[in-house]
Amino acid sequence: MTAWAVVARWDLRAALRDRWLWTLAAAFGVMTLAASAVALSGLRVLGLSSFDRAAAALLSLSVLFVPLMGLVLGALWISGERESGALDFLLAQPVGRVGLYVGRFLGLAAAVTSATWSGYGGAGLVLAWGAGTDRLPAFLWLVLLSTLLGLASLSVGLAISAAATTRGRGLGAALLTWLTFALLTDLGVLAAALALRLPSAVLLILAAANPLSAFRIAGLAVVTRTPELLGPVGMLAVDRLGVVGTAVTLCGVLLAWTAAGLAVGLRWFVRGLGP
Amino acid sequence: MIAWRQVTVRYRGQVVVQNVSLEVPTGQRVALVGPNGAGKTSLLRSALGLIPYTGTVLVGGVEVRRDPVAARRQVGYVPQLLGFPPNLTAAEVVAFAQELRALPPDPAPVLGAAGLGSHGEKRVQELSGGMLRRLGVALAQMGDPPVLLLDEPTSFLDWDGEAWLVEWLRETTGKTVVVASHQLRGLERVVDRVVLLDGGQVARDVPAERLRSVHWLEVVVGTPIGTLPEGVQVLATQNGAWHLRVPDHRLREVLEVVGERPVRVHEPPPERILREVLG
Repeated sequence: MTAWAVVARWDLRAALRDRWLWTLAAAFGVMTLAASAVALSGLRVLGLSSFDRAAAALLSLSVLFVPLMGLVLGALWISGERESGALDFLLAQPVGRVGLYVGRFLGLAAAVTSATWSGYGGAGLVLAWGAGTDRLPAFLWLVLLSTLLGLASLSVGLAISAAATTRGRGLGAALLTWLTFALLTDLGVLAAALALRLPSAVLLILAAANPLSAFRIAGLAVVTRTPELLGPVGMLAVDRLGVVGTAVTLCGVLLAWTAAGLAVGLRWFVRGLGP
Repeated sequence: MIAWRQVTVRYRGQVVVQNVSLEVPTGQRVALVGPNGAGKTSLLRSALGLIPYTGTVLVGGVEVRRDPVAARRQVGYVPQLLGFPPNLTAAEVVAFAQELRALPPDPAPVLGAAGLGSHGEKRVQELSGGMLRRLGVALAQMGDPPVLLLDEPTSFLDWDGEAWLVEWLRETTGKTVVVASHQLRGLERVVDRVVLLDGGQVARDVPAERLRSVHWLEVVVGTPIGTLPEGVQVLATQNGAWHLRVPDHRLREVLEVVGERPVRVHEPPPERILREVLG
Protein backbone atom coordinates (compact mmCIF):
# COMPACT_ATOMS: atom_id res chain seq x y z
CA MET A 1 0.00 0.00 0.00
CA THR A 2 1.40 3.43 -0.89
CA ALA A 3 2.21 5.89 1.88
CA TRP A 4 -0.69 8.24 1.11
CA ALA A 5 -3.13 5.35 1.25
CA VAL A 6 -1.70 4.27 4.63
CA VAL A 7 -2.05 7.83 5.93
CA ALA A 8 -5.60 8.09 4.57
CA ARG A 9 -6.69 4.84 6.21
CA TRP A 10 -5.25 5.68 9.63
CA ASP A 11 -6.44 9.28 9.54
CA LEU A 12 -9.94 8.07 8.73
CA ARG A 13 -9.83 5.79 11.74
CA ALA A 14 -8.56 8.58 14.00
CA ALA A 15 -11.04 11.13 12.65
CA LEU A 16 -13.99 8.80 13.17
CA ARG A 17 -13.15 8.98 16.87
CA ASP A 18 -12.86 12.76 16.90
CA ARG A 19 -15.29 14.25 19.40
CA TRP A 20 -15.66 17.55 17.54
CA LEU A 21 -16.77 15.76 14.42
CA TRP A 22 -19.24 13.50 16.17
CA THR A 23 -20.66 16.20 18.38
CA LEU A 24 -21.45 18.26 15.27
CA ALA A 25 -22.63 15.20 13.33
CA ALA A 26 -24.91 14.14 16.17
CA ALA A 27 -26.38 17.64 16.46
CA PHE A 28 -26.83 17.74 12.68
CA GLY A 29 -28.53 14.33 12.68
CA VAL A 30 -30.93 15.26 15.46
CA MET A 31 -31.83 18.55 13.78
CA THR A 32 -32.39 17.02 10.34
CA LEU A 33 -34.50 14.28 11.85
CA ALA A 34 -36.60 16.77 13.79
CA ALA A 35 -36.90 19.13 10.82
CA SER A 36 -38.06 16.31 8.54
CA ALA A 37 -40.58 15.06 11.07
CA VAL A 38 -42.00 18.55 11.64
CA ALA A 39 -42.12 19.28 7.90
CA LEU A 40 -44.03 16.08 7.22
CA SER A 41 -46.42 16.54 10.11
CA GLY A 42 -48.47 19.27 8.42
CA LEU A 43 -50.49 19.29 5.23
CA ARG A 44 -49.72 21.73 2.45
CA VAL A 45 -48.97 25.09 4.00
CA LEU A 46 -48.58 28.29 1.96
CA GLY A 47 -48.59 26.18 -1.19
CA LEU A 48 -45.45 24.25 -0.25
CA SER A 49 -45.40 20.47 -0.35
CA SER A 50 -44.18 18.67 2.75
CA PHE A 51 -41.09 17.52 0.88
CA ASP A 52 -40.31 21.08 -0.22
CA ARG A 53 -40.54 22.23 3.37
CA ALA A 54 -38.34 19.38 4.54
CA ALA A 55 -35.82 19.98 1.75
CA ALA A 56 -35.64 23.69 2.56
CA ALA A 57 -35.10 22.87 6.22
CA LEU A 58 -32.42 20.29 5.41
CA LEU A 59 -30.64 22.78 3.17
CA SER A 60 -30.67 25.43 5.88
CA LEU A 61 -29.30 22.97 8.42
CA SER A 62 -26.66 21.69 6.01
CA VAL A 63 -25.51 25.23 5.27
CA LEU A 64 -24.82 25.63 8.98
CA PHE A 65 -23.54 22.24 10.05
CA VAL A 66 -21.71 20.64 7.12
CA PRO A 67 -19.20 23.48 6.57
CA LEU A 68 -18.65 23.64 10.30
CA MET A 69 -17.78 19.94 10.39
CA GLY A 70 -15.33 20.21 7.49
CA LEU A 71 -13.75 23.48 8.57
CA VAL A 72 -13.31 22.56 12.23
CA LEU A 73 -12.04 19.04 11.63
CA GLY A 74 -9.61 20.22 8.97
CA ALA A 75 -8.42 23.28 10.87
CA LEU A 76 -7.72 21.35 14.06
CA TRP A 77 -6.05 18.37 12.43
CA ILE A 78 -2.57 19.51 11.42
CA SER A 79 -2.43 22.48 13.80
CA GLY A 80 -3.21 20.17 16.71
CA GLU A 81 -0.54 17.75 15.64
CA ARG A 82 1.94 20.58 15.22
CA GLU A 83 1.17 21.70 18.77
CA SER A 84 1.38 18.22 20.29
CA GLY A 85 4.47 17.11 18.38
CA ALA A 86 2.62 14.41 16.45
CA LEU A 87 3.40 16.16 13.18
CA ASP A 88 7.13 15.70 13.79
CA PHE A 89 6.53 12.01 14.34
CA LEU A 90 4.77 11.73 10.97
CA LEU A 91 7.19 13.96 9.07
CA ALA A 92 10.10 11.88 10.32
CA GLN A 93 8.65 8.79 8.64
CA PRO A 94 9.67 7.89 5.10
CA VAL A 95 6.75 9.64 3.45
CA GLY A 96 6.84 12.80 1.35
CA ARG A 97 4.93 15.89 2.39
CA VAL A 98 2.71 15.78 -0.66
CA GLY A 99 1.76 12.16 0.02
CA LEU A 100 1.15 12.96 3.67
CA TYR A 101 -1.09 15.93 2.89
CA VAL A 102 -3.07 14.18 0.16
CA GLY A 103 -3.48 11.11 2.36
CA ARG A 104 -4.75 13.27 5.19
CA PHE A 105 -7.25 14.99 2.95
CA LEU A 106 -8.59 11.69 1.64
CA GLY A 107 -8.86 10.17 5.12
CA LEU A 108 -10.58 13.21 6.57
CA ALA A 109 -12.78 13.53 3.49
CA ALA A 110 -14.05 10.01 4.10
CA ALA A 111 -14.71 10.90 7.75
CA VAL A 112 -16.60 14.13 6.94
CA THR A 113 -18.60 12.31 4.26
CA SER A 114 -19.49 9.56 6.74
CA ALA A 115 -20.59 12.15 9.28
CA THR A 116 -22.66 14.01 6.67
CA TRP A 117 -24.35 10.85 5.43
CA SER A 118 -25.08 9.66 8.94
CA GLY A 119 -26.62 13.07 9.65
CA TYR A 120 -28.93 12.63 6.65
CA GLY A 121 -29.72 8.99 7.46
CA GLY A 122 -32.53 9.56 9.94
CA ALA A 123 -34.07 12.32 7.85
CA GLY A 124 -34.00 10.07 4.79
CA LEU A 125 -35.86 7.32 6.58
CA VAL A 126 -38.48 9.75 7.90
CA LEU A 127 -38.97 11.30 4.46
CA ALA A 128 -39.20 7.92 2.76
CA TRP A 129 -41.78 6.81 5.28
CA GLY A 130 -43.80 10.01 5.26
CA ALA A 131 -43.48 11.30 1.69
CA GLY A 132 -42.77 8.13 -0.24
CA THR A 133 -39.80 7.37 -2.41
CA ASP A 134 -40.83 9.30 -5.52
CA ARG A 135 -38.69 12.26 -4.36
CA LEU A 136 -35.75 10.00 -3.55
CA PRO A 137 -33.59 11.40 -6.40
CA ALA A 138 -34.11 14.92 -5.04
CA PHE A 139 -33.11 13.77 -1.58
CA LEU A 140 -30.00 12.03 -2.94
CA TRP A 141 -29.13 15.23 -4.80
CA LEU A 142 -29.18 17.04 -1.47
CA VAL A 143 -26.89 14.42 0.03
CA LEU A 144 -24.51 14.65 -2.92
CA LEU A 145 -24.40 18.44 -2.74
CA SER A 146 -23.81 18.32 1.00
CA THR A 147 -20.96 15.89 0.41
CA LEU A 148 -19.38 18.33 -2.04
CA LEU A 149 -19.88 21.16 0.43
CA GLY A 150 -18.22 19.05 3.12
CA LEU A 151 -15.23 18.40 0.88
CA ALA A 152 -14.88 22.08 -0.03
CA SER A 153 -15.04 23.07 3.65
CA LEU A 154 -12.57 20.39 4.66
CA SER A 155 -10.14 21.47 1.99
CA VAL A 156 -10.30 25.08 3.25
CA GLY A 157 -10.07 23.91 6.87
CA LEU A 158 -7.02 21.78 6.15
CA ALA A 159 -5.36 24.71 4.39
CA ILE A 160 -5.99 26.81 7.52
CA SER A 161 -4.47 24.01 9.56
CA ALA A 162 -1.37 23.89 7.36
CA ALA A 163 -0.69 27.52 8.25
CA ALA A 164 -1.93 27.70 11.86
CA THR A 165 0.69 27.22 14.55
CA THR A 166 -1.74 26.20 17.30
CA ARG A 167 -5.13 24.53 17.65
CA GLY A 168 -6.56 27.74 19.06
CA ARG A 169 -5.54 29.77 16.05
CA GLY A 170 -6.75 27.06 13.70
CA LEU A 171 -10.13 26.91 15.39
CA GLY A 172 -10.45 30.70 15.48
CA ALA A 173 -9.65 31.00 11.78
CA ALA A 174 -12.09 28.18 10.94
CA LEU A 175 -14.94 29.82 12.85
CA LEU A 176 -14.19 33.19 11.30
CA THR A 177 -14.20 31.61 7.84
CA TRP A 178 -17.51 29.91 8.57
CA LEU A 179 -19.03 33.14 9.83
CA THR A 180 -17.76 34.98 6.75
CA PHE A 181 -19.26 32.46 4.36
CA ALA A 182 -22.48 31.92 6.29
CA LEU A 183 -23.35 35.52 7.03
CA LEU A 184 -20.98 38.26 6.07
CA THR A 185 -20.45 37.43 2.39
CA ASP A 186 -24.17 37.41 1.59
CA LEU A 187 -24.68 40.64 3.50
CA GLY A 188 -21.68 42.16 1.76
CA VAL A 189 -22.96 41.16 -1.68
CA LEU A 190 -26.39 42.52 -0.83
CA ALA A 191 -24.94 45.80 0.41
CA ALA A 192 -22.67 46.08 -2.63
CA ALA A 193 -25.57 45.38 -4.94
CA LEU A 194 -27.64 48.12 -3.35
CA ALA A 195 -24.86 50.66 -3.03
CA LEU A 196 -23.17 50.12 -6.37
CA ARG A 197 -26.24 49.08 -8.39
CA LEU A 198 -24.36 46.05 -9.68
CA PRO A 199 -25.56 44.40 -12.87
CA SER A 200 -27.43 41.17 -12.25
CA ALA A 201 -24.73 39.03 -13.87
CA VAL A 202 -22.08 40.41 -11.49
CA LEU A 203 -24.40 39.88 -8.56
CA LEU A 204 -24.89 36.27 -9.63
CA ILE A 205 -21.16 35.67 -9.93
CA LEU A 206 -20.46 37.26 -6.54
CA ALA A 207 -23.17 35.20 -4.86
CA ALA A 208 -22.10 31.97 -6.56
CA ALA A 209 -18.48 32.48 -5.53
CA ASN A 210 -19.54 31.84 -1.94
CA PRO A 211 -19.60 28.04 -1.59
CA LEU A 212 -22.48 28.19 0.88
CA SER A 213 -24.61 30.28 -1.46
CA ALA A 214 -23.66 28.01 -4.36
CA PHE A 215 -24.77 25.02 -2.31
CA ARG A 216 -28.04 26.65 -1.28
CA ILE A 217 -28.98 27.76 -4.80
CA ALA A 218 -27.94 24.45 -6.41
CA GLY A 219 -29.95 22.55 -3.83
CA LEU A 220 -33.10 24.60 -4.12
CA ALA A 221 -32.93 24.84 -7.91
CA VAL A 222 -33.13 21.10 -8.30
CA VAL A 223 -35.05 19.96 -5.24
CA THR A 224 -37.85 22.43 -4.79
CA ARG A 225 -40.72 22.86 -7.15
CA THR A 226 -41.41 26.24 -5.60
CA PRO A 227 -39.44 29.01 -7.41
CA GLU A 228 -40.11 31.54 -4.63
CA LEU A 229 -37.82 29.59 -2.32
CA LEU A 230 -34.88 30.26 -4.64
CA GLY A 231 -34.69 33.95 -3.89
CA PRO A 232 -33.79 36.61 -6.47
CA VAL A 233 -30.25 35.38 -7.19
CA GLY A 234 -31.38 31.77 -7.51
CA MET A 235 -34.23 32.72 -9.81
CA LEU A 236 -31.80 34.73 -11.90
CA ALA A 237 -29.42 31.75 -12.09
CA VAL A 238 -32.16 29.39 -13.19
CA ASP A 239 -33.41 31.96 -15.65
CA ARG A 240 -29.96 32.36 -17.21
CA LEU A 241 -28.60 28.82 -16.99
CA GLY A 242 -31.63 26.59 -16.58
CA VAL A 243 -32.01 24.12 -13.72
CA VAL A 244 -29.40 21.65 -14.99
CA GLY A 245 -26.96 24.37 -15.98
CA THR A 246 -27.31 26.02 -12.58
CA ALA A 247 -26.78 22.74 -10.76
CA VAL A 248 -23.74 21.75 -12.84
CA THR A 249 -22.18 25.21 -12.63
CA LEU A 250 -22.61 25.47 -8.88
CA CYS A 251 -21.30 21.93 -8.35
CA GLY A 252 -18.31 23.17 -10.31
CA VAL A 253 -17.98 26.06 -7.85
CA LEU A 254 -17.86 23.60 -4.92
CA LEU A 255 -15.31 21.42 -6.71
CA ALA A 256 -13.25 24.50 -7.54
CA TRP A 257 -13.21 25.47 -3.85
CA THR A 258 -12.08 21.94 -3.00
CA ALA A 259 -9.28 22.04 -5.56
CA ALA A 260 -8.21 25.57 -4.62
CA GLY A 261 -8.16 24.74 -0.90
CA LEU A 262 -6.11 21.63 -1.57
CA ALA A 263 -3.64 23.48 -3.79
CA VAL A 264 -3.16 26.35 -1.34
CA GLY A 265 -2.96 24.05 1.68
CA LEU A 266 -0.49 21.76 -0.04
CA ARG A 267 1.69 24.71 -0.96
CA TRP A 268 1.63 26.00 2.62
CA PHE A 269 2.27 22.54 4.05
CA VAL A 270 5.20 21.83 1.77
CA ARG A 271 6.77 25.27 2.20
CA GLY A 272 5.72 26.03 5.75
CA LEU A 273 8.79 24.64 7.44
CA GLY A 274 10.19 25.73 10.77
CA PRO A 275 12.29 24.35 13.62
CA MET B 1 27.38 7.69 8.44
CA ILE B 2 25.91 11.11 8.87
CA ALA B 3 27.63 14.32 7.85
CA TRP B 4 26.82 18.01 8.04
CA ARG B 5 29.00 20.12 5.77
CA GLN B 6 28.94 23.87 6.16
CA VAL B 7 25.34 23.74 7.26
CA THR B 8 23.53 26.93 8.13
CA VAL B 9 19.92 27.04 9.33
CA ARG B 10 17.89 30.22 9.54
CA TYR B 11 14.62 30.55 11.39
CA ARG B 12 12.50 33.69 11.27
CA GLY B 13 15.42 35.72 10.05
CA GLN B 14 17.81 34.49 12.73
CA VAL B 15 20.75 32.18 12.19
CA VAL B 16 20.25 29.22 14.55
CA VAL B 17 22.98 26.99 13.09
CA GLN B 18 26.00 28.68 11.58
CA ASN B 19 28.31 26.97 9.12
CA VAL B 20 28.52 23.72 11.08
CA SER B 21 30.61 20.86 9.74
CA LEU B 22 30.38 17.62 11.64
CA GLU B 23 30.86 14.03 10.59
CA VAL B 24 29.71 10.99 12.51
CA PRO B 25 31.21 7.81 11.05
CA THR B 26 29.17 4.61 10.81
CA GLY B 27 28.74 2.97 14.20
CA GLN B 28 29.89 5.99 16.21
CA ARG B 29 27.81 7.49 19.01
CA VAL B 30 27.89 11.20 19.59
CA ALA B 31 26.35 13.34 22.30
CA LEU B 32 25.42 16.76 20.95
CA VAL B 33 25.25 18.96 24.03
CA GLY B 34 24.72 22.61 24.73
CA PRO B 35 22.39 25.12 26.30
CA ASN B 36 18.87 25.74 25.02
CA GLY B 37 18.93 27.53 21.70
CA ALA B 38 22.37 26.23 20.80
CA GLY B 39 21.06 24.72 17.57
CA LYS B 40 20.97 21.03 18.54
CA THR B 41 17.38 20.39 17.48
CA SER B 42 17.80 22.32 14.23
CA LEU B 43 20.86 20.27 13.35
CA LEU B 44 18.97 17.01 13.91
CA ARG B 45 15.91 18.22 12.02
CA SER B 46 18.07 19.22 9.07
CA ALA B 47 19.19 15.59 8.82
CA LEU B 48 15.55 14.59 8.32
CA GLY B 49 14.80 17.29 5.81
CA LEU B 50 12.30 18.89 8.18
CA ILE B 51 13.77 22.37 7.92
CA PRO B 52 15.41 24.33 5.14
CA TYR B 53 19.17 24.71 5.32
CA THR B 54 22.13 25.71 3.25
CA GLY B 55 25.14 23.46 2.90
CA THR B 56 25.08 19.68 2.62
CA VAL B 57 23.64 17.02 4.89
CA LEU B 58 24.38 13.40 4.08
CA VAL B 59 22.67 10.45 5.73
CA GLY B 60 24.10 7.11 4.67
CA GLY B 61 25.43 8.75 1.54
CA VAL B 62 22.04 10.25 0.62
CA GLU B 63 21.88 14.03 0.26
CA VAL B 64 18.90 14.89 2.39
CA ARG B 65 17.68 17.81 0.31
CA ARG B 66 17.73 15.71 -2.84
CA ASP B 67 15.88 12.70 -1.41
CA PRO B 68 14.48 13.32 2.08
CA VAL B 69 12.30 10.20 2.00
CA ALA B 70 15.30 7.93 1.30
CA ALA B 71 17.24 9.69 4.06
CA ARG B 72 14.37 9.28 6.55
CA ARG B 73 14.11 5.60 5.68
CA GLN B 74 17.56 5.17 7.25
CA VAL B 75 16.80 7.16 10.39
CA GLY B 76 15.02 6.38 13.62
CA TYR B 77 14.12 9.69 15.26
CA VAL B 78 12.92 10.59 18.73
CA PRO B 79 11.81 14.25 18.65
CA GLN B 80 12.12 16.57 21.60
CA LEU B 81 8.38 17.24 21.74
CA LEU B 82 7.05 13.74 21.40
CA GLY B 83 3.46 13.39 20.26
CA PHE B 84 1.50 10.86 18.28
CA PRO B 85 -1.59 11.04 16.11
CA PRO B 86 -4.54 11.64 18.43
CA ASN B 87 -7.42 9.24 18.98
CA LEU B 88 -5.27 6.19 18.22
CA THR B 89 -4.20 3.59 20.75
CA ALA B 90 -0.54 2.87 21.42
CA ALA B 91 -0.81 -0.38 19.44
CA GLU B 92 -2.42 1.45 16.53
CA VAL B 93 0.31 4.10 16.51
CA VAL B 94 2.91 1.34 16.28
CA ALA B 95 1.00 -0.41 13.47
CA PHE B 96 0.62 2.94 11.65
CA ALA B 97 4.36 3.61 11.86
CA GLN B 98 5.13 0.05 10.77
CA GLU B 99 2.94 0.40 7.69
CA LEU B 100 4.57 3.73 6.83
CA ARG B 101 7.92 1.95 6.91
CA ALA B 102 6.50 -0.90 4.81
CA LEU B 103 6.85 -3.32 7.72
CA PRO B 104 4.22 -5.92 8.56
CA PRO B 105 1.99 -4.50 11.32
CA ASP B 106 2.91 -6.31 14.51
CA PRO B 107 2.77 -3.94 17.49
CA ALA B 108 3.27 -6.46 20.31
CA PRO B 109 7.08 -6.82 20.16
CA VAL B 110 7.57 -3.05 19.89
CA LEU B 111 5.27 -2.37 22.83
CA GLY B 112 6.96 -5.13 24.80
CA ALA B 113 10.39 -3.60 24.15
CA ALA B 114 9.09 -0.29 25.48
CA GLY B 115 7.68 -1.94 28.59
CA LEU B 116 4.18 -1.03 27.40
CA GLY B 117 2.91 -4.54 26.69
CA SER B 118 -0.14 -4.03 28.89
CA HIS B 119 -0.88 -0.51 27.63
CA GLY B 120 -1.40 -1.26 23.94
CA GLU B 121 -5.14 -0.54 24.04
CA LYS B 122 -4.75 2.80 25.77
CA ARG B 123 -5.14 5.89 23.65
CA VAL B 124 -1.90 7.82 23.34
CA GLN B 125 -3.43 10.77 25.21
CA GLU B 126 -3.77 8.49 28.24
CA LEU B 127 -0.08 7.56 28.37
CA SER B 128 2.25 9.38 30.76
CA GLY B 129 5.18 11.47 29.49
CA GLY B 130 7.61 8.70 30.41
CA MET B 131 5.52 6.07 28.63
CA LEU B 132 5.37 8.23 25.51
CA ARG B 133 9.14 8.67 25.62
CA ARG B 134 9.64 4.91 25.86
CA LEU B 135 7.20 4.37 23.02
CA GLY B 136 9.06 6.95 20.94
CA VAL B 137 12.39 5.25 21.55
CA ALA B 138 10.91 1.86 20.65
CA LEU B 139 9.35 3.28 17.47
CA ALA B 140 12.67 4.81 16.45
CA GLN B 141 14.23 1.36 16.42
CA MET B 142 11.57 -0.19 14.22
CA GLY B 143 12.93 -1.67 11.03
CA ASP B 144 16.44 -1.55 12.47
CA PRO B 145 17.48 1.79 10.92
CA PRO B 146 21.26 2.30 10.73
CA VAL B 147 21.02 5.86 12.12
CA LEU B 148 19.37 6.99 15.36
CA LEU B 149 18.72 10.65 16.13
CA LEU B 150 17.50 11.28 19.66
CA ASP B 151 16.49 14.78 20.71
CA GLU B 152 16.48 15.27 24.49
CA PRO B 153 15.53 11.62 25.00
CA THR B 154 15.71 11.86 28.79
CA SER B 155 13.08 14.59 29.13
CA PHE B 156 9.95 13.37 30.95
CA LEU B 157 11.87 10.32 32.18
CA ASP B 158 12.33 9.68 35.89
CA TRP B 159 15.58 8.32 37.34
CA ASP B 160 14.65 4.75 36.39
CA GLY B 161 13.71 5.87 32.91
CA GLU B 162 17.01 7.67 32.47
CA ALA B 163 18.90 4.61 33.63
CA TRP B 164 16.84 2.49 31.20
CA LEU B 165 17.70 4.82 28.35
CA VAL B 166 21.41 4.92 29.13
CA GLU B 167 21.46 1.13 29.38
CA TRP B 168 19.55 0.85 26.11
CA LEU B 169 22.09 3.13 24.43
CA ARG B 170 24.93 1.05 25.81
CA GLU B 171 23.40 -2.08 24.29
CA THR B 172 22.64 -0.42 20.95
CA THR B 173 25.77 -1.25 19.02
CA GLY B 174 26.65 -0.97 15.36
CA LYS B 175 24.42 2.06 14.78
CA THR B 176 25.30 5.64 14.12
CA VAL B 177 23.74 7.53 17.00
CA VAL B 178 23.44 11.25 17.67
CA VAL B 179 21.90 12.24 21.00
CA ALA B 180 21.05 15.90 21.56
CA SER B 181 20.80 16.90 25.18
CA HIS B 182 21.23 19.99 27.31
CA GLN B 183 22.73 17.80 30.03
CA LEU B 184 25.05 14.83 29.93
CA ARG B 185 23.09 12.71 32.43
CA GLY B 186 25.53 9.84 32.12
CA LEU B 187 25.61 9.96 28.34
CA GLU B 188 29.39 10.38 28.45
CA ARG B 189 29.56 6.77 29.63
CA VAL B 190 27.83 5.38 26.54
CA VAL B 191 28.92 7.66 23.68
CA ASP B 192 32.20 7.92 21.84
CA ARG B 193 32.29 11.69 21.37
CA VAL B 194 30.83 14.74 22.98
CA VAL B 195 30.23 17.77 20.77
CA LEU B 196 29.37 21.06 22.44
CA LEU B 197 27.21 23.40 20.40
CA ASP B 198 27.02 27.01 21.44
CA GLY B 199 25.39 29.86 19.57
CA GLY B 200 24.77 27.61 16.57
CA GLN B 201 28.41 26.64 16.22
CA VAL B 202 30.57 23.72 17.27
CA ALA B 203 32.42 25.01 20.33
CA ARG B 204 34.10 21.77 21.45
CA ASP B 205 34.47 18.26 20.05
CA VAL B 206 36.11 15.85 22.48
CA PRO B 207 36.37 12.10 23.00
CA ALA B 208 33.86 11.07 25.65
CA GLU B 209 36.48 9.25 27.69
CA ARG B 210 37.93 12.60 28.70
CA LEU B 211 34.71 13.40 30.50
CA ARG B 212 34.26 10.08 32.24
CA SER B 213 36.66 11.05 34.99
CA VAL B 214 34.57 14.07 35.91
CA HIS B 215 32.30 13.20 38.78
CA TRP B 216 30.90 16.25 40.48
CA LEU B 217 27.53 17.82 41.01
CA GLU B 218 26.25 21.28 41.68
CA VAL B 219 24.38 21.79 44.92
CA VAL B 220 22.39 24.96 45.55
CA VAL B 221 21.62 25.63 49.21
CA GLY B 222 19.03 28.23 50.11
CA THR B 223 20.91 29.63 53.12
CA PRO B 224 24.60 29.73 54.09
CA ILE B 225 26.00 26.68 55.84
CA GLY B 226 28.90 26.38 58.24
CA THR B 227 31.90 24.22 57.59
CA LEU B 228 32.09 22.65 54.15
CA PRO B 229 33.30 19.07 53.78
CA GLU B 230 36.70 18.59 52.19
CA GLY B 231 36.81 18.96 48.42
CA VAL B 232 33.65 21.07 48.27
CA GLN B 233 34.07 24.47 46.64
CA VAL B 234 31.80 27.50 46.65
CA LEU B 235 31.16 28.40 43.01
CA ALA B 236 29.06 31.46 43.70
CA THR B 237 26.73 33.10 46.18
CA GLN B 238 23.62 34.62 44.73
CA ASN B 239 20.67 36.17 46.60
CA GLY B 240 21.75 34.40 49.76
CA ALA B 241 21.96 31.00 48.04
CA TRP B 242 25.21 29.09 47.87
CA HIS B 243 26.20 27.30 44.69
CA LEU B 244 28.55 24.47 45.60
CA ARG B 245 30.73 22.18 43.54
CA VAL B 246 30.50 18.81 45.23
CA PRO B 247 32.42 15.66 44.22
CA ASP B 248 30.06 12.70 43.85
CA HIS B 249 31.50 10.87 46.86
CA ARG B 250 31.02 13.91 49.11
CA LEU B 251 27.33 14.43 48.31
CA ARG B 252 26.03 12.46 51.30
CA GLU B 253 28.19 14.48 53.71
CA VAL B 254 27.05 17.75 52.19
CA LEU B 255 23.40 16.78 52.46
CA GLU B 256 23.93 15.87 56.11
CA VAL B 257 25.45 19.30 56.77
CA VAL B 258 22.64 21.00 54.87
CA GLY B 259 20.07 19.30 57.06
CA GLU B 260 16.58 20.79 56.70
CA ARG B 261 17.62 23.76 54.58
CA PRO B 262 16.12 23.95 51.07
CA VAL B 263 18.51 22.32 48.62
CA ARG B 264 18.71 21.54 44.92
CA VAL B 265 21.14 19.06 43.37
CA HIS B 266 21.84 19.00 39.67
CA GLU B 267 24.40 17.98 37.17
CA PRO B 268 26.62 20.86 36.03
CA PRO B 269 25.85 22.11 32.53
CA PRO B 270 27.94 20.33 29.90
CA GLU B 271 29.64 23.54 28.86
CA ARG B 272 31.00 23.95 32.39
CA ILE B 273 32.20 20.36 32.50
CA LEU B 274 33.91 20.74 29.15
CA ARG B 275 35.48 24.04 30.19
CA GLU B 276 36.87 22.38 33.30
CA VAL B 277 38.17 19.38 31.41
CA LEU B 278 39.67 21.32 28.54
CA GLY B 279 40.85 24.24 30.60
